[in-house]
Amino acid sequence: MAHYQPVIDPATTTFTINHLPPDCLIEIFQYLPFLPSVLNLQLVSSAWRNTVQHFIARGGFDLNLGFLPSHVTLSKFIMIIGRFYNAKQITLCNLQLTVDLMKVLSFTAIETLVLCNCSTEAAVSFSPDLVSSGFKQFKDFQREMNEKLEDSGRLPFYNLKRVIVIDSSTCLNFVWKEDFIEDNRDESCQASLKSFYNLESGFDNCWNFKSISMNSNKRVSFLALELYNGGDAKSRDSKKFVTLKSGKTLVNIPIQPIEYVEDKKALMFKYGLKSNYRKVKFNSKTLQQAIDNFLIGIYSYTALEDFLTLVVNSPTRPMNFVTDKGFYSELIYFLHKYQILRENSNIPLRIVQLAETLDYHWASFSQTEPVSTKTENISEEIPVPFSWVHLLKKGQYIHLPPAQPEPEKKESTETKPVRKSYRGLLTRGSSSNNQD
Amino acid sequence: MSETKQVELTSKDKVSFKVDRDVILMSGLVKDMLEEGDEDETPIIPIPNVDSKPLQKVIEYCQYHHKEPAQEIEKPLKGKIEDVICDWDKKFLEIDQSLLIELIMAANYLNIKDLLDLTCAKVASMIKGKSPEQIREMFGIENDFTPEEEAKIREENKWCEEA
Repeated sequence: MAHYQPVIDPATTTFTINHLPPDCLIEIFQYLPFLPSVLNLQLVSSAWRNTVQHFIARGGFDLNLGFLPSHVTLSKFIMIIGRFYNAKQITLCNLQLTVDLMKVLSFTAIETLVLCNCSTEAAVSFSPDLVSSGFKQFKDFQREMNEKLEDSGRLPFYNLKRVIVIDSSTCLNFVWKEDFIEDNRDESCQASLKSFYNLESGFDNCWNFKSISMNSNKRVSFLALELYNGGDAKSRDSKKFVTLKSGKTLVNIPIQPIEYVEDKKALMFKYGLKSNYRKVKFNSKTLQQAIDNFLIGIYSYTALEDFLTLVVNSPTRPMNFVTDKGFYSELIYFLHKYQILRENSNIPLRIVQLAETLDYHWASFSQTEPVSTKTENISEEIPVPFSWVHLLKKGQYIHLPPAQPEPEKKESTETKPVRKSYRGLLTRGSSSNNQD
Repeated sequence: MSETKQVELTSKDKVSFKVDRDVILMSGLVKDMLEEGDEDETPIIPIPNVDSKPLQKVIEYCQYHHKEPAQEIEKPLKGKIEDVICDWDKKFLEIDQSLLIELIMAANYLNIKDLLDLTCAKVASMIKGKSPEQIREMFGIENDFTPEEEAKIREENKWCEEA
């Protein structure tokens, strides 16, 4: 249990969130994305911090690590997994899986591993005892995890039920210790996948998966999918597969092309695809692949809202972070470039309002001459500060002129933005000195 | 035609509500109590932890969703809660913050899962996208961290800034 009691003043008749027991707060937290929302709730108060820590210890959350860089360091990965080993699902995107990363993952309690556009540097193993690592940091991690789990004899991936590979090409090679069972009609796996996707029927006809024995009494479903919505599945490379090896046996699991996914079933891909936006390699084929399936259209507004909310809520973050990193504005730029967003797109009002709020903020520290900056992926110079509304509507960066010195009733929208001072935000790393 | 069996619920502030037995069986707590008790004509069940105002809302919820089962709300919420709940639930949630919190506590105590899910999801949607400072302001929570403690937590979470 969390280490605090709700603070209740018997004299008060107004109930506040402070009256809720920790279990109810945890119920609430479950409706929020774990990263970064729930983790950041630790900053609300010490009581909330305790509850979040209890929530983490209890486990059962989805850890969406789609934002990690493709060559994440082992020490960073160990730090994250060591803290959140109780996650129920881990999603990795655009990541190159190594033997060591898989060994680290093997200590987690995950039921589902989603790999979106991932690759393996060579064959990596789901049975970490096959390859021993020489890294001292891994050995320290192993010792620490054995202490935490109070069970050094625990099997690797002890809770794993399904591996879902999305839009990953031939570069995935997995080694499996046990023999394969190639029966994709395995009932327990089928039931597990149906329940995961909340599908009542039709799964067995639509989705071809493999049941693979993990150890003597447990099977894991392995599903490899590639989306061709809006694209031409027939012209695809028929040799695409994921390789699984077990001893001398080698099985190539064909990647199943999905020519058309109904909206409801499209939700199957929510975990992988949504996070994929966070790390789309704009200047590579990856974006075009993502664009080819219409799902980017489904989730683009959600992603845009998330991005803009993040910027609006981080007013003290230096502007250069927002512009140099590119994540926040490039998505809009490229959605226009690939005509997912168009000039006459019916963008939801809440997203336009977020962009207006940003313009309102940024105009307060704008100057007559813009500072030009560049990102890795956009060849043109970006004038900073730029207009988010213009970018959202037209897909072009234009300099945002300084605010006119007439503070009166500029607009009467219900979400009138609060003006903040942004002096010094153009300097990288100056966030701690900024005043809201 | 046989009359529908009823149950009398008595709130913390001693207000009684007569409810159809079938309706209030949505409450796990009441269901357990009825199974344990005698087959009275109209059993009286005290609900000492819930005031009449939230109890009335609870009954209203059960009366509607007894016939129209609630849709499951996906965790985590993908957008606004208004996009995933029915019109009746939207109207039902047009209440002040204090009553909303009381409803969560009542649903938790009475073990009505669907109502607990709905009210918790509502609070989550109020929290979603807000900074810790905005959350404190919205719910009247005191920041009891020292600047050093706050800096330490920020440092701990720095790695997921781009999440």
